[in-house]
Amino acid sequence: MKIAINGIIRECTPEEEAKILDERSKVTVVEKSYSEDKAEKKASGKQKLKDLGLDDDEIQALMGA
Amino acid sequence: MSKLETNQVDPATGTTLTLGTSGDTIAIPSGVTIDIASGATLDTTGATVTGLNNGLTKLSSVDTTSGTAAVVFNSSVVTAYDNYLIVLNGIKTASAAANGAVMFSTDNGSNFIGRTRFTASVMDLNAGSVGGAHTGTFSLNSVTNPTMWDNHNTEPLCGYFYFQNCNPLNDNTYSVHCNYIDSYTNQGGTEYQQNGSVMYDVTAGQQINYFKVVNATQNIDEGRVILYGFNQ
Repeated sequence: MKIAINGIIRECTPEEEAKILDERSKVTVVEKSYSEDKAEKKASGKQKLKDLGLDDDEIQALMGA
Repeated sequence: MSKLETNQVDPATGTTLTLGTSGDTIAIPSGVTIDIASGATLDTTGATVTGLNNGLTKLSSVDTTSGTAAVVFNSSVVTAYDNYLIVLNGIKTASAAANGAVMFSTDNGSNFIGRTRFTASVMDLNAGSVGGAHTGTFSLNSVTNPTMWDNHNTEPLCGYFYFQNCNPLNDNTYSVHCNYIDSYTNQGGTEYQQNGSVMYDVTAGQQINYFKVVNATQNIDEGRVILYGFNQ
């Protein structure tokens, strides 16, 4: 694992590598990205239309999905 | 000290005239003008240029190589400019599942400043449509950062990030702003442009002196990162 500091790339020291790995282990995605959110909304919307009684062809005609 | 008085100095052989030796300083006294004639070239390629108060000053750049965990610019090059511009060119990561941000601190990397306000709009370049608002964030180094881009392992990211009011004089709240535009292929394989703004709380009187370009979990494998500074 490397680190670039002020234009110079070098291998991380053991301490730097341990710190980076520790930081990464603590990364939490607080909110969904737009792509995940969009895909989930598309799926949930399709399911709601099915629940209303529309068949797959009708849903396809409405939303192209 | 002896004094040499002459009207012209030329190289004895060849075409290169060298002044001084490594470690020396060539002093130009106050009141002296260096007049570079039209048609001449002042070539500072590869040199460190400091002290220019007007215009964009290139402070540092790096061509990343495979396995680069973070790109850091510390207080040796981040030196009290009012504004900074960070350009990312052709960035690719080890995996197409990474979210990235530019982080900064006022204590040379000991503590990072989290975003206070953030949102971005995205456009789907594949479908040619507006993709809606993007408010994705991730927590890294115990602060919350905006997700300024996604990364892909075979398609490059390009973007520019303006950090403004980096030496806030009066305001402690929403004092430093970042406005940015980037374009990339996200982890799902769709091309997006992201146009965002971030506001940070930096205490008046403090200065940004450290930037870190980082992805949430992935190494950078290639691409160029350039840091510029410019004053008011």
